[in-house]
Amino acid sequence: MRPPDPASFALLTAHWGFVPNLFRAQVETAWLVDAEAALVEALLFRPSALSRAQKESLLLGRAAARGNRYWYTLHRGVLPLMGRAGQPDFREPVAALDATLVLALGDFLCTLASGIAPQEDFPAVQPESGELPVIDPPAAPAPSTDPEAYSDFRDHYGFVPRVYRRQAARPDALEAEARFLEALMVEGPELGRRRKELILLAVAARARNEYLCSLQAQELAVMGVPVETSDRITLDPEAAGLPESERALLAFVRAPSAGAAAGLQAAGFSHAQVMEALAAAALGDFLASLAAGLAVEPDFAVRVSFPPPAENNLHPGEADSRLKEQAPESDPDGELVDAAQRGDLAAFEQLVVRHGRRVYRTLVGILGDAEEARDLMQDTFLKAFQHLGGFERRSKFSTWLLSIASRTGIQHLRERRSDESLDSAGDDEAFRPRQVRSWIDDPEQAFARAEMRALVEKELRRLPAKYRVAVMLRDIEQLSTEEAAGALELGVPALKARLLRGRLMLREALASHFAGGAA
Amino acid sequence: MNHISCQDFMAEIGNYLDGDLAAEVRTRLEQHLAHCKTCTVVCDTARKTVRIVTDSDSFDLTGEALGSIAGQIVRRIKSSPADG
Repeated sequence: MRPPDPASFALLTAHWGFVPNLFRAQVETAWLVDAEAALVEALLFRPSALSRAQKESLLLGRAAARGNRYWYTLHRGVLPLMGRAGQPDFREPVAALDATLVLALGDFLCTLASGIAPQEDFPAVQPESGELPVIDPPAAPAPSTDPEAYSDFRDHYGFVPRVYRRQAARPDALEAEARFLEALMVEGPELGRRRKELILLAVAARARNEYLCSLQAQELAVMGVPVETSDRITLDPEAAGLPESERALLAFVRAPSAGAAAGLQAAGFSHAQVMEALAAAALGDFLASLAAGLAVEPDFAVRVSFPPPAENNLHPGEADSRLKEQAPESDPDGELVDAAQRGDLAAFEQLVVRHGRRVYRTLVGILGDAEEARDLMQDTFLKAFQHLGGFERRSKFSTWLLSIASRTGIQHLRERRSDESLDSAGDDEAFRPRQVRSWIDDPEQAFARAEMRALVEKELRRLPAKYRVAVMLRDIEQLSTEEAAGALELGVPALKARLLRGRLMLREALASHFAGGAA
Repeated sequence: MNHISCQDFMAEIGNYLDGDLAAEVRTRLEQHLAHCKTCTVVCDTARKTVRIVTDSDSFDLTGEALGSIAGQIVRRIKSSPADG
């Protein structure tokens, strides 16, 4: 067994001030520590469009969104030492690409921490529900010359997959990724290449990432695994007819935990094999995160599609996925979208009329101002029309449209004022109800309808934007929790926390009008 | 069965209002409500709040306003360059 490379520990110490326990816990596979540290160096420590504080802040958000206590604690611990983060302008393609890479690194690191469960480096802090910034997929300018790493990817895949081509503006990142790919997938001594490619496929399926699933199915086909087998693994690895050991391996990488790692060792895998499997899972999450963040078109035909989760299904799983040949998820707007994609403006106008109120309320929810919302409604639909050709029906049209509306509104909010934001600060602080007198039985009778509406609108305007928009989408527009979360690009727990806070704040505000007797 | 605190109740009130709870958790919350007047009031008034907000149909756009905005959008699309 090789001793840990002091160089990578020194690198980590130089940039974090200490060697995080996550890496110390892997000293028995020192080559992995070196490979991981090199990736961290390229994407986090190396100067780029975003400052170190901004990157740490993104990683904190990612750890919060993943509910990863280890990394949440670490980034919370180091952020105060990094100076002021400031708000980057993610409309700049370089900043957007940088941020997408950092968020993918966050996924990579969180997956490692899930499987290792190291002791926190600072007093543990429970993650607060997080919100990540809205980052439009950056445009990919065609490079004047191919980045050197392209030849490495051609060696590895036989071509340069689009997930790498989209990063042409960061040749240094591509080189780091190519080195990691080589170190883990080719040179990694513990598990065969085929098993590691299977792991990437299983992780891609768990992440519901059609891009990476189709790429992995192709990789495996080259290695002699029939695409039908890859389809079955994508749909359900347990029912894919794999040998027991591979089923155990894929079960571990789909839900890594320290307990599952110990179970895998009990099933006969060595500690080093488990660590290598975990690193492959982390790589899978990294690539899936990049493919999603960069909105990469698949290199190959998608064979298994992942429709958006069914309404009220809080635990979307592989049961939702289906072979592409089967009936696609029906979208009530499907026919109009087809026509609009062919340039039929009358069809697009119908979509505007059908969804205008929702878009408007999303924008009022974010901005609190009816007039601004009307103006931005036009911008939202113009953007939707411009990008309609790229709408691939991975979600319903309405969800896609509302996410454009919320991005447009958030962007405008940022430009307009500095005191309102949709960030996550304070979401998790307990809200203590102050008004505890009961209300009259039928408060609706206390006011005429128009008065009641004016009252509710007045109190809604007073709410902070992040709570207001949650209430408007859920309680007025009557979206499901998942739809509202999807429109705001939040996780379901974050949406629920904001909705509850908004409802309770409104309750306090309305109490003076409806309170009847003592509690 | 363990009794839950008001704080526990408040942590779950959102899911309770939305009927988004396992039967067992719902039963425990309701056992708490049976003897806690404060949580009962908060829960009842929060439910009324949701009803009032939903029924208010706040920030609605009239059909006329919507049609006018849709027309403006289509005119802007027609007058913009084809490649957007």
